Amino acid sequence: MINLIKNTVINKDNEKVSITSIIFLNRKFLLLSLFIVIYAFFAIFAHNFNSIQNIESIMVFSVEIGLLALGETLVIASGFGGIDLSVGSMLGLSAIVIGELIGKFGLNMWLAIIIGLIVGTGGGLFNGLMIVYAKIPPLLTTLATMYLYSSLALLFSMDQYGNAMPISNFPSIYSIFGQSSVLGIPLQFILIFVPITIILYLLVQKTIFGKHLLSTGTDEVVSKLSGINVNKIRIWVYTISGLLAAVAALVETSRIASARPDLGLNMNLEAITISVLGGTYIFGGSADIMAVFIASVLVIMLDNGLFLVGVNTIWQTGALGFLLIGALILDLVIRRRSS
Amino acid sequence: MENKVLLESKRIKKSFGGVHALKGIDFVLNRGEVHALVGENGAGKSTLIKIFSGVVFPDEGSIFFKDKEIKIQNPLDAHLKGIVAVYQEPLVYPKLSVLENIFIGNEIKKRNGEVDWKSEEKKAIELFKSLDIESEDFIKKPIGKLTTAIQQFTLIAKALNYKAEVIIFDEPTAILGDIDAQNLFKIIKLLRSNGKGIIYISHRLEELQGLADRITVMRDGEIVGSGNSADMTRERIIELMAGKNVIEKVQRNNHLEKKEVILEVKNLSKDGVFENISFDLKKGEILGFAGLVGSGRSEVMEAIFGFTKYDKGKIFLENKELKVNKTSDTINSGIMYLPESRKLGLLQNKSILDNVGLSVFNRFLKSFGFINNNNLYPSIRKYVELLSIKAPSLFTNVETLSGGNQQKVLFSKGLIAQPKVLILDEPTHGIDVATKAEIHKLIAKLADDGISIIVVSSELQEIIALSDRVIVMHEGKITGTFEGDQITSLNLISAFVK
Amino acid sequence: MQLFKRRESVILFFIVALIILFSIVTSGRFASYSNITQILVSAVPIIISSIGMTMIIVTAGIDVSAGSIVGLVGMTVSILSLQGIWSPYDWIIGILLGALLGFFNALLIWNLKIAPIIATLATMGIYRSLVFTVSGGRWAIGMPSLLLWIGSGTIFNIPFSIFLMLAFVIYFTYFMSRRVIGRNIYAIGNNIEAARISGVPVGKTIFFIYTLAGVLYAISAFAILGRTGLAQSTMGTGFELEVIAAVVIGGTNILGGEGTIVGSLIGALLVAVIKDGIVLSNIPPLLTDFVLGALILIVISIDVILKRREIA
Repeated sequence: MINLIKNTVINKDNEKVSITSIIFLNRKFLLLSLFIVIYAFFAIFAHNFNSIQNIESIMVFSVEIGLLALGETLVIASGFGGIDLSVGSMLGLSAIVIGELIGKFGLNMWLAIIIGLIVGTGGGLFNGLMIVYAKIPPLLTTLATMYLYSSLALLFSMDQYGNAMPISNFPSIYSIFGQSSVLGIPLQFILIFVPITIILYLLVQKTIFGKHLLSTGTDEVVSKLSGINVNKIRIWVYTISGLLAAVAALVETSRIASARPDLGLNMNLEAITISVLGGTYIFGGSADIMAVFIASVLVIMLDNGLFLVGVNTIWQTGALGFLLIGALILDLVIRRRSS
Repeated sequence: MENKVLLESKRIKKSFGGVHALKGIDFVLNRGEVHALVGENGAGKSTLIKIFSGVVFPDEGSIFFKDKEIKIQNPLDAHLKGIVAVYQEPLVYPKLSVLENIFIGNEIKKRNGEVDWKSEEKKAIELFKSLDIESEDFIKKPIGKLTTAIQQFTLIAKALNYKAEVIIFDEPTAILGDIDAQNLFKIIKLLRSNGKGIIYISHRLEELQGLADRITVMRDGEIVGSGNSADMTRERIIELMAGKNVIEKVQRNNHLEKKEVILEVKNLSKDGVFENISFDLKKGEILGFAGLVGSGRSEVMEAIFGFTKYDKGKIFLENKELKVNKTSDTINSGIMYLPESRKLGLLQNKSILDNVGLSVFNRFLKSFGFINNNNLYPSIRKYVELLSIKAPSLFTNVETLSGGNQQKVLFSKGLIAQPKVLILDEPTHGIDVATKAEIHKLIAKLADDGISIIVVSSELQEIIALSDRVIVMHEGKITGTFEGDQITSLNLISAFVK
Repeated sequence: MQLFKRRESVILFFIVALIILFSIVTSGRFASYSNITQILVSAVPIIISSIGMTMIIVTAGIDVSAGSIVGLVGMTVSILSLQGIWSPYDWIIGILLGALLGFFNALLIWNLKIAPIIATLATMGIYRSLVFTVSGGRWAIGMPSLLLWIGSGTIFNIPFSIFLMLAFVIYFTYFMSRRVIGRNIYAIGNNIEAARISGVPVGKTIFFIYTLAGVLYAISAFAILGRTGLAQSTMGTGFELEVIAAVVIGGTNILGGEGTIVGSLIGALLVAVIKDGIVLSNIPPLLTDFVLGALILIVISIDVILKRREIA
């Protein structure tokens, strides 16, 4: 173990660095190490943790919150106080739209899904437009749209007496998104979450959009002076966030085979927390998609493990809070070290 | 018997990362005196002021206040000792009233700890009265809505509230109108007659004649001349500021041939910032823009570049009108602007690659918006080598590089866009002499290769060394154009010092 | 010295207009004494908490842990009272607990330099988990009426909580304009650098406002308990957003530097009037959130437009 610590590696800059510093300085490695530690811990102490069923369960649950966290990451990375408190509400709204269209109006499933995606995207677009053109701070805008969208969801789900009615009459084929597997791996994980993660990763790391996004979040003035259209970038990320929320809605409604207007209500803050845990700097300019992906799975795994050892589910939020503070203390230490 | 000497500095030295801002300053301020500090940008005036007001700590030397040696730890410490600085951009609480601005941090309290508004109001009115100002009208208004003049007066009142004995003004009239400026002078004379010591930085030599008792001229971090204002005539001051003409002009080819006009600016105006700016730029020419900070040169360039809007005028690139809207358009048309500070031009915590390529990713694309690194990296490497940028690798973060190397990265960013017109704003600001020369040679070579270059610089030496032609701006207007032999520091300074 | 500005008058006007509107629609029921009292009582917890939130937002901070603090204090105090501890002691413990939770927020923000939104996001989760730990998942019900008195008792037929709320509003309005700390809060929100240079104790002020906010959330919890008579582990969920909405609608600038307690009170009243009016007019109550959201957007847009006109 000590030898491992003394081992050094040559990094991109041709400098020698120690393995411990890599682990602590690189968020992905840190999360992976944490992942391994937590996994090992629960594998030992939690009954049934290490079973195929359980691992599948972890994968299933990580998709919905993971998609929201990815959207949140892009939004926060765009800087300028970027944040999206309305992701949960957009999820609920899209869910209800899909549900109502299929359940009440008997619309073709695929058509309903497309409309649901459009609705979520539209919600995100509205956020972006308000923030960029009405110049309302993101915190306030998404706070307001959070209320707006969730009440719209309630509105659409109302019956003639004014009660909110959940939709449960989905066709059985609808459950393919959230309840089926491909080669033993849950479909939503392998065919939705992973591909989207990869696409976003490529988007951020390898495309001009990604470079412009990170530049905008790092320094708005420099970006503008370099010919970057910061307004366009910002509108795009909020729109994407809405789209991802709609995809998450699709997955969730398919998984539970019903649509309720209160879906996603408590997911906003968890999404933000996971994003920050994944190394997203709250003031913008950084977006480590892979780290956020790992963080999503890690957090769900933690929740799952805690549940299996008998810790009450309410402590999941608490554990998340501690993790967040821990990650931020680490950031502080690193920053102090390097200056 | 009060001591005559109020504030004194002995052998003050200060360097910032290898650049000597102050090389040993012995400065004396007397009681009841207005002492003007004059010099080009970069002469060291601001640094000296920052040392006196506690913003910056000297590397060497000592400060004496009323004959006792003191160490000024921070701005608050300076305030408590009685030294207050009033800057061009007043440091105020915009949404709070004038009254509150004076007393925050220094409130008058009643016996029970409560803030005594009535007494504060009385005291504030008194303070303003001592400056001969009637303040009942505005004392309770939010200061952000009042004129800059009133903001400055408030800071002066605040300084007096701290029982300041030394008040430093840093170019106070730069953003004041004439009437406000006159009021300010009245106040300063009043303060002087009350025994205060005033340090007054300004470039407006004509206003110093009636105001200053003594004038000190700084150049290149040293004091080059000092004396009573009667002895320091305008000519003498300019001579001292300019120094000797010992600059090497860069070697140029194709110097004398007539080249076609590549950029034409006609009557460019922006209300309150610059007026009727018209000039030509020929292909392969280096056009220098001289003037003081605040003369509007950068603002003109930002307008040409499309970063900011202008109100009137036209711009022609290669005889076609440029309808300027977005910076991405101007860059694609062939104009590249490198801003005046590396902070504005570089993303500090990103790599050389990300910085150099920032404006031109759109020229290195594969399908779906993917960046073609196979083309991009070699291009960037070409410029890194061309400019001899010293860095471990292309992935190194620019903030770890020296100032000179950072500037070269900024250059690469400009060059990779293969511009027809390259606008450089303070291209060698804060860089050591050797790298400066390197960059100057580079600029000359670029011009020889056919790139038209505008150099905005506040360092006269640099303008003189580089330019084929020089345009001088002062307070938003062009006040002089010089060519060839006429480009001398004397001529230039006369044009931008009113 | 920032008592009444144009903004507050505009909102007041809307409140009056809405009262008239709702009265017409409900054939006078809306404007009855009992209903108006009902509205005020329901607004009390929000108003009391908005005092702390106003101070926080004026310094350009934010506190989304308010609801979790309300829940934690409410649950703790209920359980203690059910164990037989005399109510006044419960109140004292509750206030101390609120102060402690707020103090911890300040610690994260000032000493660890964590951005307020993130820090309070984290504590929001932690405190909420603690609610559950303390309650074991059960409801707390049947607390002694003394404990509930703050929220349900009356003096001369007027609910005590209204007196309490008025007392706080009056005191803290005085506080913001006449005590040095109050002034420092505005200074920090306007120009934190200038404040630091002028010798304003920024750190101490930050600790003060978050800790005080914690205390105020605790008192709000008492009022809520009194009205509802029970405590569940979801107590206070969403509370912080209502408080923030009230503060923002009432004229406090989310970017800091300006805002008044009276403004927040009026903002809270507007929200309460709308909520109550909607219910009484037989409009589906689900619409309330919609109106709240739309209201925030409209109000802020108007702010931004006005500000741009000022600059131009």
